[in-house]
Amino acid sequence: MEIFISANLLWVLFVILISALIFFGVIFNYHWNHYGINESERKVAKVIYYFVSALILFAIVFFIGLYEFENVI
Amino acid sequence: MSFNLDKDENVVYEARRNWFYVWARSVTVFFSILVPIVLFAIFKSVDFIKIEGNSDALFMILILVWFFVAWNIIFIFWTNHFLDILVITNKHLIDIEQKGIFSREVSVIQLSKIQDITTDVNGFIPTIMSFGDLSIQSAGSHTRFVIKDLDNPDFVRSKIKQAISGEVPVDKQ
Repeated sequence: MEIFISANLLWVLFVILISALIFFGVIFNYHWNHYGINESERKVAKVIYYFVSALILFAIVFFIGLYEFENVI
Repeated sequence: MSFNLDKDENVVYEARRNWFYVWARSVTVFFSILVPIVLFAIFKSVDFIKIEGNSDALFMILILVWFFVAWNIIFIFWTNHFLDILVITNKHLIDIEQKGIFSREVSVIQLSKIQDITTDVNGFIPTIMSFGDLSIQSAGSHTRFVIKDLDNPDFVRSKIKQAISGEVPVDKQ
């Protein structure tokens, strides 16, 4: 059985993940700004969350590009 | 601060829940990342399903998507943990518990109405790491007010008793 997954579908998945990042970013920002007790804790939380999320998303973009490039060839 | 203090009210002490169970849940979610990796290894070794194109890149994408979901779950655990706090003031005991992303409970007890404070450290890990439950019986209430997995509950109990008796010097925030 052969399965073919279009690169466009993967880009749609990537857009869904970006939307999820924006959604959770808004939620976490609200919590940090309204309920966070310590200023330094807020900054550390923001940096860690966005840095790790960006790393994962860049890796996803890289592999989607690799998948699309090799399928075109 | 997410709560308002009276004019002559000041924070005496702040206590947090112990990090152990948050770490345990986070590690469990982290190890769930092994599931797609194992599935990937099984798909590579099985011939009846073939994926056109670069299957390695495709599986890496799926693994990373799983990473992203797991990362957000772990971050929710930690945010909920850091937003849980017990604040002892010279007048009140304020317990703030973030139960979920959209669920938050703030309980306030007047120090003057506290009748009984009980600590319960139960189990090997809580004993080694000194965390446990703090339960408070207040006047006029039939139910006990319980704060679970508090760091150093005996020390917190002594702080509450000192705040009730007015012995503790107050730290202004």
